Amino acid sequence: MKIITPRAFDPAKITTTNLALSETVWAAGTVAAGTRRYVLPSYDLYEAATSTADDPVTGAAKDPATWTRVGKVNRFAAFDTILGNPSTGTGIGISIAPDGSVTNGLALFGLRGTTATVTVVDPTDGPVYSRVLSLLDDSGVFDWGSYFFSPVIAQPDHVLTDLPLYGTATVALTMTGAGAVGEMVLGQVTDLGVTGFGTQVNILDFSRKDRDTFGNAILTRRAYADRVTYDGTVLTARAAYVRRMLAAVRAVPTVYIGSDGRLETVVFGFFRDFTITLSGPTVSDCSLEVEGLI
Amino acid sequence: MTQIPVAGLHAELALGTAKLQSGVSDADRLLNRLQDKMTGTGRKAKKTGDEIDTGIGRGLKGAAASASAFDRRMDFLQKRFDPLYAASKRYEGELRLLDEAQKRGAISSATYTRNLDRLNAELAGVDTGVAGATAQMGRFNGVASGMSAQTGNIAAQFQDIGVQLAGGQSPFLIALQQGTQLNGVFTSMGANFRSVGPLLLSAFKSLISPISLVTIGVIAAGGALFQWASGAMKAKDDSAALNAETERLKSMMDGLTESTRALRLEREIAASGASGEAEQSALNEINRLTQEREQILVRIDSLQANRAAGFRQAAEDERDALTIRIEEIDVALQQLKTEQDLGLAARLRANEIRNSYRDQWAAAETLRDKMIAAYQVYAMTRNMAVSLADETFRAAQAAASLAYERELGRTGQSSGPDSVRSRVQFGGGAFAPPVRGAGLRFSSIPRISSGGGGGGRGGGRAGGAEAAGLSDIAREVQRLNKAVEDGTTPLEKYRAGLAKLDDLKKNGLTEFAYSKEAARLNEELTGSLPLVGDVADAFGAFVSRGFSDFKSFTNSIMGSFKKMLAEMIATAAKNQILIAIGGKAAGGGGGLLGGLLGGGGAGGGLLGGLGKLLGIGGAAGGAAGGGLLAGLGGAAALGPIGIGVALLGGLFGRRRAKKRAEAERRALEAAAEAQRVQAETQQRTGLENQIFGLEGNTAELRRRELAALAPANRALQERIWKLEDEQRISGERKALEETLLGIEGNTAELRRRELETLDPANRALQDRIWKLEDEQRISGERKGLEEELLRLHGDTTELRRRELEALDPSNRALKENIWRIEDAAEATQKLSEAMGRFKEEDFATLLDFNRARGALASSMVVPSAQPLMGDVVGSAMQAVRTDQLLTSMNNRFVKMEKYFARWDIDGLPGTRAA
Repeated sequence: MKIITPRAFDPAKITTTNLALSETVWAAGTVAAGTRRYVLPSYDLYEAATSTADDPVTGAAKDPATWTRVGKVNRFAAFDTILGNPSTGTGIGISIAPDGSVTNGLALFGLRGTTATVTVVDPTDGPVYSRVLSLLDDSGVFDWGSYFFSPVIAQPDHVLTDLPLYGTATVALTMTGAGAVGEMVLGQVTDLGVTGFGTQVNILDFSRKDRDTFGNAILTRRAYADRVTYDGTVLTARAAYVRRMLAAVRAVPTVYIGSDGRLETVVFGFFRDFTITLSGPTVSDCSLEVEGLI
Repeated sequence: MTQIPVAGLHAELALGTAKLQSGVSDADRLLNRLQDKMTGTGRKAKKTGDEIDTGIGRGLKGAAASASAFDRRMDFLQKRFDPLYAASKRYEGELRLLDEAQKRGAISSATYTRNLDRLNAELAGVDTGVAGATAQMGRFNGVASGMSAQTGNIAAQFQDIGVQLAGGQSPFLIALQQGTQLNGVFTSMGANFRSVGPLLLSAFKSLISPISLVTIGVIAAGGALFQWASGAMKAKDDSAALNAETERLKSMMDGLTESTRALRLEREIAASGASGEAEQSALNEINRLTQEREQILVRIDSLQANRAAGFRQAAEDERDALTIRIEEIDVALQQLKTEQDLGLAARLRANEIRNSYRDQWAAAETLRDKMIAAYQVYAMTRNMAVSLADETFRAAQAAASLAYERELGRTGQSSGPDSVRSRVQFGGGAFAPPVRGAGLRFSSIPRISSGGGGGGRGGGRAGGAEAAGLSDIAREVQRLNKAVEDGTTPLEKYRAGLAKLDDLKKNGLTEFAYSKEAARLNEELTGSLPLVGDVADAFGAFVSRGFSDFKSFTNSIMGSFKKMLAEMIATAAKNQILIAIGGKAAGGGGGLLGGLLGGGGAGGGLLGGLGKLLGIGGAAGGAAGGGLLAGLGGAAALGPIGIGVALLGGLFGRRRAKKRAEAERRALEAAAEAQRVQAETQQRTGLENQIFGLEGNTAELRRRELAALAPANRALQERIWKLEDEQRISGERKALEETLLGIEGNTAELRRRELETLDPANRALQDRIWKLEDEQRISGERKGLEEELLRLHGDTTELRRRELEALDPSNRALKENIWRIEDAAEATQKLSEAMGRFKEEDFATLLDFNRARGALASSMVVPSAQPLMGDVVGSAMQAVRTDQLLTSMNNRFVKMEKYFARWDIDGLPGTRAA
């Protein structure tokens, strides 16, 4: 059981390819409803709910809101902590320059495209890491029949926890074809313990599923969030350490990894609750409930 | 891997921290400065706004003042150049004065109506005159259009005439002034026209003549009529004269019509270019008009004369009335003088009487002096008599002694003083015990005196007579003693009654009963003190008889003094004050008196002298010496009587007094009970009357009231009640009828009844008021209905336009601003309600939800409530500045985090440094 604590968003450190800054920065004045403007330095993108002269930040806080925050501009949408607002483009390339923090983990969510390659290039040592990611989930193909007739399922989520610890290296994601990057989280990996079987995986569906007084179903399809309840074990000697680490990332979007090989246990979100049961002198039980972002 | 020196990191970190702190401080300072500036800007904006408001206020005020000045100027100009306007203004002023005069009761309704008619006629006359003058002027201008300068002058003159006429100036003065000026203008014009041609000149002259003449005539006649009417009204109400003058004015107006016709004729002549006959005809017409002018002038003179005659007649009438009044005052003064003379005579007579009384008083004083002198003679005589008696006594003693000695000489017995003393005791002192012991039997005194010394026969006779007087006193004293014993002397009765009252008061007698009974006792006591009254009556009778019957007077006074003396003695005896004196005196005096009486006639003479003294002292009326002497003498002589009276009073008086007190207490209690019963009866009567009043039993109330009245007045009271009942029933019926009419909506009948109650002079005004009220009511109804219709149609714009129209223009902007704010609040409320109808659960994403609400907000535009611009700008700038500051700080923290992250990568600084 690991976590990747994301580094702070710094647009100056992000270099992109084929992700032009096509949106318009907000300037004082009245805009029509539906107009999208972003603000600096956060590159947060807003859409005007009505014709307004409000600035987007103030307007979004009003009731009724005159602006709605959509996420970040397309160039930086992969860093806006909103999985549903991806950076889209063809042949997307994103390079993240070092900012002095420790970065040895990378999580990618909502990847769509033909291929995706992650590389780490140090200015001194050159490329020190390269990994090609499969964007298809072939786990359902086990014979020719399934090869030919099973649906092609994408594998949008990937997590890499083995990036070399180069303080000056640049981490790059290169994709081919029309694609999208929902969220790209780069940070430091912290090992908390071992995830055991008994871990529960499900989703939180925010769709409306009601019935009227006549029994007719009223369904409104909405987004959903992943939810995982980890059942793990930690060293009793590290229980305090684990508790401090988890406390440090409370209410902070963090990548929780149950196992690198089991992507269903990878969630980008926040923990709702955790419990460390000091059940033995060597190891202790740990329960952690995490809800993903949407 | 890049290596970063740890020392450098330290320095950079310290530098960065210092910079951060410095930056934060700078930011704080900047923020404070910005806030200060914003505050200053806000103040300036507010000040500017206030100045603008003040300026607007001043401007509005100035505008109002300017408007007022403009109105005044316009009023002046209109008065100056619009005769009819000036006349109407003057009419309004006169009407106000007239209304005020009527309101204050200075004039009667008839006078008010007459003057109102006069004012209306005057205004109409001015209107007609001005219209006529204007028409004439128009005709003149039409004819003399080519003579613009002269025409202008003439027009100005005509305007001046009209204005002066409307301003109330004397028409003759106007005619004199303006006529002269017009003449000058026409003369100059005539000189110019001579060169043009005789035809045009004659035509023009024929034109000018009637215009000027008639105009002046109309003006003068109208003005004269007005002024005459005013003067006549003030001097005397003479409507007949007014009618006659009106007829004359009508005749003048006929002349005007004729002149106008002539003018038209001349114009036609001038237009046709006729010559010869036409010119002659025009000249004839001029002559005719000239003659007519002369006639009008004569009429004007007549008018003037009539007016003067009217004034003179009025003055004469007033003078006659004044003369009558003066005569009345003379008569009244004469009567007053007569009354004054009568009063003076009465005063003189009073003075005479007063002087007469003074003379009589002086005579009485002289008499008193004489009586004092007589008393002195008497005292001297008495002393001589006493001495004589003494000598006689001694002579008797000597004679007895001599006889005794003679007897001894015959018998040989020795003689000495003791034997003489015993003889004296036998002869004189033997009478002393009966005198001392008798006390009550004064009747023995005459016998004593008559049996007294043979040496004083004359004195004995006198003593006998005076002793008879003393017998009267004795009887009176006896009577009074008895009264004292019975407690029936006035003073005693008064004191006893008062004491009983005090006791009863202590035992609960009411203050009212006490006061009433005490007053009764006072009256009784006052009435029972006859001495002063008796003396006064006697003196008055003595004076009225012309001081002729002095004897009766003195006898009366004497009687009164006797009564007084007796009462004094009795009272003294009762009070045991003089008893002691009398007793002591009696101890020795009695012996002395007995000795004196026993001694011979001298004693009788002494008592006789005492009686005379009492008489003289009483007659003197104020001779204190005599009274005192009488008192002392009486006390000395009657002390034993007093003792006896006191003893008897002591024995019987207490029991009688006790019974009497008990009887008085019962009587007073009975009186108090009667009073209480009476009060209760009155209270019950009042309550019963209240009940009857509540029950509406008027008949019983009136019966009681009638019973309380004198029979002679009952018929009058019944008549009053009858009239009151009739009035009440009539009033009730009238009120009910009016209520019924009001319910039926019969306003016409209601108004007719109300008009009947008004003075006829005011009915037209009331009618006018009702008419205006009806118009206003109908207008208001229509306005209300229209507004209701507009509201139903939702035509707020028209409604507001009407409301704005009803406001003062200076306040309309404020009202519009209020509406704007109200609209904004209403729209916000509606928007909020509409927003509330959107449910988040109906939308898939927040973006969709906000889009829908944004679309709704766009469809419902909320008007701006116009917040202060300074506030908006200030808050916006502050927000921006705060955002920038936070961003800057965030950047600096990020930078620091980089250093910390670097440490994590490169190891702890201490380790690396080592």
